[in-house]
Amino acid sequence: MEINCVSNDTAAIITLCGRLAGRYPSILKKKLGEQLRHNSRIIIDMSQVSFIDSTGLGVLVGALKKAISREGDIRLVSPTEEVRMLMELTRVDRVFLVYSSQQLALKSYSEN
Amino acid sequence: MNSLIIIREKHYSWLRGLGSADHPAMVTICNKPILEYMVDFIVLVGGKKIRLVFEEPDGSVEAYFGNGERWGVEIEYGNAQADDTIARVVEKNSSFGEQAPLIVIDGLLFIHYDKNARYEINPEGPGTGFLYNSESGSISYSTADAAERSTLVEFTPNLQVSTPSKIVNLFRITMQVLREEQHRYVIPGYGADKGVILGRNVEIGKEVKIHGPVVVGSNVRLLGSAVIGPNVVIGNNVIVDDGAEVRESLVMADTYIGRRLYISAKMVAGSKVVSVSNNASIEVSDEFLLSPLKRSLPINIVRYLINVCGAFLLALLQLIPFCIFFTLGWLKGDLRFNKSRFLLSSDGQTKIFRTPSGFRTGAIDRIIRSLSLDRFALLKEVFSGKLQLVGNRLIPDTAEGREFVKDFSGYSPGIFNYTEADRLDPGAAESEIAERFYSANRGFLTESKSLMKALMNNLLYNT
Repeated sequence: MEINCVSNDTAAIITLCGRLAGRYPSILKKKLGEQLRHNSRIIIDMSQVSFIDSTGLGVLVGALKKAISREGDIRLVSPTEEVRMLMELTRVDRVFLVYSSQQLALKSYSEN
Repeated sequence: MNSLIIIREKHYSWLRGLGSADHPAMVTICNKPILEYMVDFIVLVGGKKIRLVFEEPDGSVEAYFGNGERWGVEIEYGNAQADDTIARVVEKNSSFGEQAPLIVIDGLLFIHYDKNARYEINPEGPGTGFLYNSESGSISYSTADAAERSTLVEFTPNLQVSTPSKIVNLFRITMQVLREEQHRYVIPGYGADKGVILGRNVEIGKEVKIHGPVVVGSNVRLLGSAVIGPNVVIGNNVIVDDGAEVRESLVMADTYIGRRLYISAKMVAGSKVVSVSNNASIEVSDEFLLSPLKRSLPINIVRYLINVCGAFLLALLQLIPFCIFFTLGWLKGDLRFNKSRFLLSSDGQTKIFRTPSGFRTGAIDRIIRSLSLDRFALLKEVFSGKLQLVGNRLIPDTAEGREFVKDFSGYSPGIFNYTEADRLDPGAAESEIAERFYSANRGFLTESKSLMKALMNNLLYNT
């Protein structure tokens, strides 16, 4: 899995590409931890995540809790149908705001 | 009247991989095989003999239908080649169809009949006609003195025929039957309130909510505060764990639905979830969330015997080390025991167990724990049936413990437990999830694996 991070004034954008399973959830957890130290507003682009398991979801939820405790948030962009279905099954879709593009997610932070 | 029902691989190939152990052609609508609806229909229109024709013989179909005695008809079985036309199949079975009108159903079709209606076929004269004809199948009728003709002859009243050719169609037909047509068919189970039908041996937790219409199969466990319905069909041998919510969905047989899952507008089979709105599907890899359920052996007596044999073997292996180390400890005055009351079941049965609580001499204590000799004294409880060899964590008889087991109907404590087998923190949420999951998925292989893991963990991490 590839994890790319880009920061700007509004939020940090993390783009994920591949399978968020196996050893990658712990790598993502570290990266999210590092980002949250500098910026509690994060956007995670999930449009190229082909698979996620419950550990991967757990990392996202854990990071969301940390972000909220720092008065920030984690917003998701375009999860694939497979990811969206797993999020719905586990009710995780109820805790994240989801947008169809990075621009819309950035705009939502600006408006807030 | 006789009937040929021809089921070809192409009619049910799309069902392969949906996880059912039975032949795919035994796919069910409201827990009744579509084939059985077809047989019921033939009986309703006056059929006396039915021949089920498959490309490959299958034991599960023959085991289910037998000789047709249950339906008051004769059922036989025949073969067809993949490229045989209907005419060729009829010709091959000519002795079967002789001197009697013949209905030929080609395809896996759902016929929306009404058991309370009278159906008559209105042929215009001797010959053969199609009562239904589509790409997915056909229903044709030949009079006893048939000649070639293709005039449509109709049943009165008219019949709606649906083709469950893909998951979305199967779902749609099931919902139609569930919501509007339950009264038209004999659906397996016992009718309860408000459109709820329950199969045999259904366990329903005290806080489970069921909103009809719902059909539940046999050997189903609905646990804790699960919410089922409306518009749900649950197949046989299914467990819906505490807090899960299932609505507008089909849960196929042999499926475990994990705690707090939310299933809406889906078809679930084992670890596969299919969205009925857009046909997207996922395979859930986490068995604690969703997994196939193995059909278990008759539980109590077999399980008891396996536990007793395992405990006996372990006792034999541990006897000499136990005698050596405990004698050593007793002679040194190091030996201490704990007496505590533990819960044995979710209905509040308890027992006091006396277990060694450790030795002052660290090295001997470590050896005893690494060889699991501290459990030796409890092995006799397996023979009395009070404990399993491997099961849930022993919960102390406290207010908190009683609260925990109250809604854990599968609670069955063991000398070794699932939490230690998976090296989980006993107080953590993961431990509770694992305990409930393994309780729901008990089997010889699972428990043997858990026992080995527990013994190895003690050996590796207590030295």
